[in-house]
Amino acid sequence: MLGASTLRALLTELEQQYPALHRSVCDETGAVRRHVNLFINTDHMRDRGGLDSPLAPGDEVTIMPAVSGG
Amino acid sequence: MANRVILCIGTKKGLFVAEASKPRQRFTLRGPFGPGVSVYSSLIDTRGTPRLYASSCNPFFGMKVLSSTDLGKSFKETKSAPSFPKDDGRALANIWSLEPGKDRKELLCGVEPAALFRSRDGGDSWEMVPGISNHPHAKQWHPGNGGLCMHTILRDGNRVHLGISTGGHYLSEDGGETFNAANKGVGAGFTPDPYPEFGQCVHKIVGHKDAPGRLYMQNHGGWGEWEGPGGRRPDIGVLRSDDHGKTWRSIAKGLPSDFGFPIVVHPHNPDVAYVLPLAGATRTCPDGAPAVWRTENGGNSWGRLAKGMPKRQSYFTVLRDAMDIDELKSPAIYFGTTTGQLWLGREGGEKWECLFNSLPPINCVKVAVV
Repeated sequence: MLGASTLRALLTELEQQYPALHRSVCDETGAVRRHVNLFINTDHMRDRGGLDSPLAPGDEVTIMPAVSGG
Repeated sequence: MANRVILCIGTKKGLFVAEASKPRQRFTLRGPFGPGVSVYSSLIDTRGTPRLYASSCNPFFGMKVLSSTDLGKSFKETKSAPSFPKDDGRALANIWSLEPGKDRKELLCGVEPAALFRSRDGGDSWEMVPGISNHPHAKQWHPGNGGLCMHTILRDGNRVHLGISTGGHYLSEDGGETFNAANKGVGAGFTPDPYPEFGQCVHKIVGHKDAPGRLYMQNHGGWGEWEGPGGRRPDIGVLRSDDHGKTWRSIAKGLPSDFGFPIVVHPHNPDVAYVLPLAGATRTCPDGAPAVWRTENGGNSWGRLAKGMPKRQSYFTVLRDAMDIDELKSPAIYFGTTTGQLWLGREGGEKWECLFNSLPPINCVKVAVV
C-alpha cells in the first residue's frame, strides 16, 4: 500500500521503498521501461495521462510485462 | 592444479556452462541460467577461487550481472548492475563486455550506449569511468547494427585498450584515467573519409602477453567492391599494430574475405592468430562452407582450417565474442554460431567437431582451464 496522488509520485515512492523493484520498472532516467506496462485499475497509463495520471484512494496499479514472442 | 575445462556459452535464451576434464573427451552441459534472457558477455575470472560472471540482458526489466562461485552449477544476481548517473541522461541498453580489472576484486564492464564501468567489489557496486564514458567524442559515436557498444576491454599494465562500435579504438596510458582515439590506419567504409580520426566499426581486438605492443584487430571490412562515395577500401578488415595500437596496418591479404567478427590469438605463440571470415554482403560463411583461417607468421599469410566442418549449405554467422581458445599445451578453439552450434577445433583448429548442435543462437563463448 502506497499513498501517492499521481503515478509519477507512486514510482518515486516505489524507488525509495523498493529500489530493486523500481530498477526493474524504470531505467536510470526515470522512464518506464519499454516492455513494461502500467495499468491504473484496468486502464493502461497511456490512456489516462501517462505518468501524470492522477490516482484516487483505492486505485490499484498493476505492473505487467508486455506480451512477447520469439 | 587446474584440471577442468569450463566453457561459458552466452545465448539468446540464457547462459549455458559446459565442463570437461582436460582431455576434453566429453563435455557436460548445464543451464540455461537466466533462462529466456539474452547473454552478451561472460567472464571466467581465474584470479583466486574461480568465479563466473555473465550479463543477463533483459529487455523487459533491465540489465543484471549473474555470478557463480561453484563453477557454474548455480548463479545469483550481484547486488547491482552498472547504471548511468541519474543526471547523465543515458540509460543502460546492454552489457557487452566483462573483464578482470587491476585489483583482485576489480571488474571492468563495457556497455551500450558505449561507456565503461568499474566495480571494486566483484560486481556488487559499479561506478562509471568518466575518462571514456564522457569523452568529448562520445556524442559523435554512432550505433552499428548491434547497437553503440563497448565490446573490447584489454588491459596491459597501465595501458587500457577499448574497442567501440562505432567509435573505434581508444587507448589509455594512465591506467584508464584518460583516453585518446588511436585509429591511424584503421579504415571505415561508411564515412566519406576512409581513415577518420575515430568512428570506425571495430569488431574485436586481441593482444598477447609475450608480444608487448602487438595487437590484432578484426575491423568492419567488406568494402573491397564498394563503388559508392569514396570508392573501394580493400583489406581494411584485418589489422595489426606493433606500437600499442597507435598505428595499424592491414594483414588481410590472403583471406577469402576481410569481413568477420571475432579474432583470437594463440595462447603460447603471438605469431599465431585466428579469424573466421564471413561474406561481407550476408555476414555468413563464404559459399556456405565455414572455415577458421590461421596465420602462423603474424599475418603475412593465412591458411584454411575446416577439417570436420560442413563443406556446403552452412550459412551461419559467428559473432564478435563467440570464438575463444583455451590455454592447454595443444589448445582447442571454440566457436558458437547464430544457429546454435558449438564447434570445437582440436590441435589448434586442425580437427573440428560439433560439441552441441541445437543450442539457442549463440552470442558469446568464453573458455578457461580451472
